[in-house]
Amino acid sequence: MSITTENNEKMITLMSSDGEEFVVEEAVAAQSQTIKHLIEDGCSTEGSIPLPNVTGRVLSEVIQYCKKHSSSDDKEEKELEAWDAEFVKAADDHVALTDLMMAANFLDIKGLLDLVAQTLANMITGKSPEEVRRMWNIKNDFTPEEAEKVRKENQWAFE
Amino acid sequence: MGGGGDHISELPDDILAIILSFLSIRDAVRTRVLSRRWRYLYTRRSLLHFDASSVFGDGEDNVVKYSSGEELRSIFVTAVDQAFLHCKGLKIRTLKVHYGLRNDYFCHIDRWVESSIAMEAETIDFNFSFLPQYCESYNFPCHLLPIGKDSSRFKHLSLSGCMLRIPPAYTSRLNCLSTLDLSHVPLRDSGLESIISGCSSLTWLRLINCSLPMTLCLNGQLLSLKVLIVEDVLRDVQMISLNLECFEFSGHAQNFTFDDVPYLNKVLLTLPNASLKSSSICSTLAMGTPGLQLLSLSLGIEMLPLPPSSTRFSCLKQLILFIMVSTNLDLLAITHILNASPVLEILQLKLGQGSNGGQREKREYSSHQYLHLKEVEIKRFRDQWNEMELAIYLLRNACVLQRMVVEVAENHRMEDLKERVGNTLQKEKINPHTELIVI
Repeated sequence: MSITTENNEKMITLMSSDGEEFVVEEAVAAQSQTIKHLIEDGCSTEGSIPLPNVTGRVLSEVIQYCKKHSSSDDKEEKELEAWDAEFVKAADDHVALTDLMMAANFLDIKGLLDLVAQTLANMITGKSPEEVRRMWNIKNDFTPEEAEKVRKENQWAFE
Repeated sequence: MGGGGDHISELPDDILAIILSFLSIRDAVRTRVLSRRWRYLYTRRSLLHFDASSVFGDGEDNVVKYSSGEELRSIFVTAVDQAFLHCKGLKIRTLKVHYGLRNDYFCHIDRWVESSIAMEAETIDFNFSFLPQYCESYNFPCHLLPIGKDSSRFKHLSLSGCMLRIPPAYTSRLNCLSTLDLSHVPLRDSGLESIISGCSSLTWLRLINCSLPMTLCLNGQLLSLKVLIVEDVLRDVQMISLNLECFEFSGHAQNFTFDDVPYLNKVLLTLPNASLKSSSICSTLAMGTPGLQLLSLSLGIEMLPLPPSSTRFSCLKQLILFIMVSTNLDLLAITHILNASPVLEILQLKLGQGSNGGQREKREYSSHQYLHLKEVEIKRFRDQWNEMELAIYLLRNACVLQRMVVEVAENHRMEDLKERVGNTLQKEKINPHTELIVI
């Protein structure tokens, strides 16, 4: 469904996996390469664009990001960086971040994907494997022998 | 959604690989022991980057722990060797090694080149200029570069602190390169000639302190070359019959020749101890580079006077001048070059402090109008009479000026200075729409 607002912005409707609808400007939605291609292929003319892999909660965050990044020009780079930092901070924990990462990947939004990947990478930097496992609930399924072997292979990284 | 599960490990490989690609090689390798799922994920990175901090970590104690430099080097080499072993059969885009290695390891470096080429790398970037400089004698193995249909993938080579001696039989191996970046790679003898004859597809070439022959002459060669950046001590620079678009030079040179370079539109020259007069450089450029759109000149103290109106820059849109301003310098002399540039849109002046001298008397200003000049930027303004005179002149004569940015020099009374400069200049605008910014 294409609606046009007063400022002549073309609006489109995105529907999340749990049926929530979001009406956004086309320029905002087109930050996602996936949506951009769907629009180009004419998939938006009849009704809304369904996004079966993204829940409403995550989609609303993604839209927040796209809105900010479609309205800012290059000159505001510093401000945008600060905004990004706040944005990922608000995502709170790694579970929310992984959801966001999946969505960014599916929707093909390079900037968001890199931002979240960098944030998750920063969480590991300088931590011991034990700390990382605890932080992310990763179950160590190595036998003690295997674990010792892998560690020995890369002894240099653990010294 | 719940706190208990292992959400991270449930992510697909591709996504975990993206996360790991944001880690240093050290941190990425450490994830191998997390669980079976993670054991080989770290290898899927397109950039293999090894330097002291990515291998040893940023914490100082990591480096201090190893007693001798030799021990460190051995660990470094093991780390790179292992990464290549684990990545075997995968593809990478870039290999980057920035570290100083002794000649015992040269055969390892050769193997890394060979493996990267087999992994279809586009870029190899070696920087060995670390003290003590053991690698000065390392010669990049051109014979390992691909030939035939595989050769189109390898495109970028960057070398610093080693050698690039190309045996005649292998010059054609460099055919594939589109950019070549050499820094402290001595090319005296025939080195430059082999590059010129071998790298026929080069579009970008940078030679920083490569001990070039006294005459750097390109005449009808390297016809794909668009950008050439040179920093060296030379006598003659001759650019003849080229498709070059941008030329950047810094260092020493006594003569410049530009002839039949129709696409050359950007020239940036930094000659701190120029034995050349700026007027002679300007006429050489005006004659030899008719398509010039951006000119940046930094000529030490011999900047002024600029040439009188015989020269003409008919396409020049942006002019950047670095000028040392002594108190008796007639800054208005730069108007010669402004008057010779009828379509100039942007003027950037970076001022430096010259010697002190007497003050001159006020004069009548020319009423030459600048019909295209839209932006003027003056850096390190100190409110000397000659600086102020020039700023006022520009405000009065640039009738379509949209913006003048004056950045005042560091000063203990900066706020006063800013206010005074702002107040004085505000009154002189001929165009009421000119935005005046004093920072």
